[in-house]
Amino acid sequence: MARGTLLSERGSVPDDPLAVFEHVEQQGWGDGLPVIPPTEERVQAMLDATPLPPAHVVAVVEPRRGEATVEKIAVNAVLAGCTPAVFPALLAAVEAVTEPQFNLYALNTTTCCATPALMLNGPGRRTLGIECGYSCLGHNGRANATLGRALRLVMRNVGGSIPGAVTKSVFGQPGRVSLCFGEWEERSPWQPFHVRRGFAADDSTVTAVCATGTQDIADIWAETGEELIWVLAHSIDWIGNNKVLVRQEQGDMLLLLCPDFAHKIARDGIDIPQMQRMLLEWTRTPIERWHRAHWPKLEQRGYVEGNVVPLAARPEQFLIAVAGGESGHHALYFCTFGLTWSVTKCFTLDGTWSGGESCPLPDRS
Amino acid sequence: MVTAVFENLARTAARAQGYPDLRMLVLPHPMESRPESEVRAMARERFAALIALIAEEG
Repeated sequence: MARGTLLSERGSVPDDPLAVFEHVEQQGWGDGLPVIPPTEERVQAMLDATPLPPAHVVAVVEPRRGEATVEKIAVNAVLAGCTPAVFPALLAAVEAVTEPQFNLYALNTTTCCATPALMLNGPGRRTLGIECGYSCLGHNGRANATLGRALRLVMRNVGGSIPGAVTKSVFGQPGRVSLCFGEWEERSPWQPFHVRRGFAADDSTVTAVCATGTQDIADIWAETGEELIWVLAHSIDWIGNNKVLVRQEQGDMLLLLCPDFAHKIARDGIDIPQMQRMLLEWTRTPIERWHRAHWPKLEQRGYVEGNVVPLAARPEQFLIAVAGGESGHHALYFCTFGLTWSVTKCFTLDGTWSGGESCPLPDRS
Repeated sequence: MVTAVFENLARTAARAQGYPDLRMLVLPHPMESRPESEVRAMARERFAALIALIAEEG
């Protein structure tokens, strides 16, 4: 069923996958990977997944302040290879990253390699085939790869996030092609992440978290949860951490635990608030770790308490979720570049969804 | 004021905010690795140009 007249300019290229790919790259619309031609039929199929009209503006995308209409998002979803079923989650993701607290302007212009990482929760994960287990952050699953990719294409083609010209990220990172996964709620000893954020267990949500990358934390020696949290804390408190560059009370960061790590911690009676307090305490870094010449610079900015430099000000700034394979031994740290807060949005997959309920958001500071 | 490598970003942002002709003083890049004395000298050299830019009609 056609949802309405499409307003996008029509173009014509030979009916050949390579010709389409080359045309998209020449126009600067792509990310270097092959694309699916966004024919009117395919775009209309995408639009069938929402009651919103094609011209509805979902968000304004920084820094170009482009209007992300449902139609423009659908075109990019087709380009990225999304199935129509994924479309409501993509709309929610666009809503999430364009909340002021997420600070997309900064993410899309910074010299840092920061990028949105998308984490899905609730029954929608399973319906969409979002991978939560082995290699869920890369090379496993069409839904993971295409949902993250479509968001990046929206940021590029609507928001003007063009490397070099507008985006000043020195290196970029592989996650700037796609970074999307699901929490493995069924293998977590704790409540799902979205429930801890105030949603119902049967809500489907997408959470956008800022990630300067995915830093592996390996451990084979910790016998207790406490030992393991010590390893985690002292693996994320390095002095070149971008989070150190901003005030302690700014920003949140995600720690993704494999099921084995999560169960080791929970087995010892440590719940998430307690783990967050331990992380807060153990990431207070002695100033001696910095070069002596940097001490006055840290002090001038008010970053020093006594003789330590805290990484964060509140336990809640450490977000914790569970994903990854059963083989164990690893956690991932999503360092934040600091001036950003994660945002969770709700969506439904029954074709009636027309805008997402949001988690409580902090004051912008 | 903007340093050279951020000029195109600044012009994109200005256009997006409805100020396509926003006047800008473009400074050398990078700034933070220069000694303070050099940055101060740079500021003194460009101060008159900055005032003229602000005072420009239109």
